Amino acid sequence: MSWKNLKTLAIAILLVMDVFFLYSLIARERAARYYDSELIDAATKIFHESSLYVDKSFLTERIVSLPVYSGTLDEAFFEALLEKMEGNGYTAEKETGGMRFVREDVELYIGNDFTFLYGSGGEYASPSEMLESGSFVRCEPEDFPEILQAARAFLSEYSALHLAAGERFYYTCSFEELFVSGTDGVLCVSQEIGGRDTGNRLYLLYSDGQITAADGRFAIMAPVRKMTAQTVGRMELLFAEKDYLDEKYRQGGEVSRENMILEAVEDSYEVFFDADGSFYFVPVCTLTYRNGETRTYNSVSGEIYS
Amino acid sequence: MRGEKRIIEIVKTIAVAVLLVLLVCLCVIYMLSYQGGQTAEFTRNMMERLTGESIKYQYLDYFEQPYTMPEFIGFSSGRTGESIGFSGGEELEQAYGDVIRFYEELFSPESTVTEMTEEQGEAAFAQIMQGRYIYVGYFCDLPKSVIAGTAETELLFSGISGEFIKEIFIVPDRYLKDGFTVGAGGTQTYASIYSFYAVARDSEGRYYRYTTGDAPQTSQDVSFNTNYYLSYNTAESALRYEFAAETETDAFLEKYGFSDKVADTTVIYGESLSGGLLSVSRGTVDFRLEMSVLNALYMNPERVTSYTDDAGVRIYFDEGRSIRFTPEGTVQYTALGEEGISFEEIFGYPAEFEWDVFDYLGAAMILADSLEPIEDSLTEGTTLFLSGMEYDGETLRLSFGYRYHNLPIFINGSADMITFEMSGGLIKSVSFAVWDVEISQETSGSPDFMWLLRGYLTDAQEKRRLILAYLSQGDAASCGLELAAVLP
Repeated sequence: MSWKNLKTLAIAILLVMDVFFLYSLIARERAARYYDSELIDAATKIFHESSLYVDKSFLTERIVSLPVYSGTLDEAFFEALLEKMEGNGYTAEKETGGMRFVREDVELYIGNDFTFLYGSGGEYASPSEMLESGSFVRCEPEDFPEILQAARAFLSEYSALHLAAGERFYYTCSFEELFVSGTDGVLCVSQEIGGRDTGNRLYLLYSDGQITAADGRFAIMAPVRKMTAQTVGRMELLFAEKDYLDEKYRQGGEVSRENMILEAVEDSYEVFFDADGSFYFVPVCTLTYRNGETRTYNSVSGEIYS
Repeated sequence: MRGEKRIIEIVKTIAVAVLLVLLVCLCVIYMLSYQGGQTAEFTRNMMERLTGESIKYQYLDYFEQPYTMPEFIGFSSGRTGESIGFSGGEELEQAYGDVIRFYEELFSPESTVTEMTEEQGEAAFAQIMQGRYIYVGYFCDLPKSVIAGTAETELLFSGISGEFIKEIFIVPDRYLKDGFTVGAGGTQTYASIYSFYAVARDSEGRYYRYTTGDAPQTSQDVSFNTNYYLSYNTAESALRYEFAAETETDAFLEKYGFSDKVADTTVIYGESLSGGLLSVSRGTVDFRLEMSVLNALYMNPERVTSYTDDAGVRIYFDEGRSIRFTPEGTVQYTALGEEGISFEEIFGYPAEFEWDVFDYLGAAMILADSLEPIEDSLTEGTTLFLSGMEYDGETLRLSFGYRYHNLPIFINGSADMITFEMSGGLIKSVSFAVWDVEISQETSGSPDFMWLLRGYLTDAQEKRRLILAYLSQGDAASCGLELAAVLP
């Protein structure tokens, strides 16, 4: 065979081999990312046996790979915070689990578990507890621009507490719910990272045209590290949920099972703390049913979180 | 024509090279993909460890309960007759909060500890008792780390270890100035400010001196100041007292060897105390309770085998573990060899690290809390407390007793109600008796302390520390406050 023909043959063989490897790689990648339809059919049938109704659309994607965000609320953080707050005229007092800052009639407590308490004018009410009284009515936040404006001013003042470390990753806040009673209002602010809910909620009490009290969990230290996480597959989570429902049925002793129709599957974050002051925003997956029942699973361990 | 052919050949050659390189790249990617791709930085093991830390935070709740609350805290102004103390109530907790601030300084890595000879220690104690001091007395010897960690949970992770302490005097060292400083309850106060040190003693007569790293500089720093005695002087539950070593003896006391039979730091109250009335009787052990105990001690009732011997003792067995229920109401769990209740089972997560003393304490507390006979006895005002802690280098022995309004309950002469033996992250032995503790709504006044003490001296043989306690024979008879003689 001439050298010319040999080259043509080599091109043909190489082309076939390249196409084969490329196809295999794509197929494998797809198999890693998505469940095949036969598996989905078989799984949904098994779920049905436990009266768990799962739409196939929840099962196409195998793994939602969310990263873990982490940072440290250590002594250095509190020292820097202390310096900053003292510069703003606050006197500081170290307490168990956090630091208390006082300036004239304003008192602020920042905990190392993201606890955030604020009171002013001698009023140290707990807005989240005030909601339990039932006297507040839920309204659309957009209908009360003055409350949103006051909340923005409050948050911008205290988001200034974000130290330099918070440059790379940052939280976004959204006004989730507003409850109004007369001229007072309680605004619930949620904190998100990477576009996902962190589970942090801050309740702001609006009274006399300003924010007078606040309580809740609100991170003022942004994460400094983004880590790839070993998360479990969606199918594994749903089988864990099936096991949970089966066990609940067994222990409940009821004759018939309630149909559990899965309406939403949402990925978000929950914070975990280490002994050295490190915090980790770990992905969690919340299953919401038509009957209003929800259950949250830790996406790394695959176990029930709440 | 020839030129065209040459170009085609060049293109073919380039195509072969490109396809070859592509093939090599694809092969490499293909092979790498079999190795599992990128390794995750945050793994399931890390999650389990974090959950473990959360478990630790969970049992911190137990530490917030009065497991290691001192039995007495005293403040002396340094003048005769000006000593007040607390043996219970909110004031004891508040006073302990003040003491903890001193611990943060005294037990910090910057402080120094020196062991004193017995003579030096006795002399130091005798001298301190005559001056201004804060005294803290615990029921039993406790490691410094446990005192610090259970008093201030943030210190739990500080890695403190060290000496066993039963009593500690915090005393002023050098006068620094008059000025603002941290006073009682953590409030700012104007007082004379002193640097401070502490002298501690264990039950075997070992003395330690603790010296802080830095003298107080600012108004935020903890200092020994003249404010403490005055702050607590007006407290409702403040008790006037003096130590036995300082008590003026009369002919009767001398005749019966007061100084030889009563430990120097025995607290002699200046007035009569009133306490509650309670009765303790044997609890009923029935099949339901046995099953509940089996479950709490991680033995599957469906897998165990059991038999009852001639003496009426019912014994349950399962893979090297056994539980004995005697007709008298005692329960004994024993595990042989490698068996036992693992901390993993109690905390619910696997461990890849060495368990520390707080894991041992936490495991014992969680397990004690899950035992129905123990939990049922913890009615209002009754709490568990750490009544004994011994470590022989391998096995940690922890005992817990009952306290009613911070005063210990002795049943048949012992304050230990439940005892654990643990080693290597396993609970090897648990023993307790089933008691019904009934609290009466009535209160009873105790006779004058000196009157009780005189009664004790006539029969006493050896040196003991005398404390107020509830003494029961377990016979359901009502008992009030009495004098208990414990090892110094």
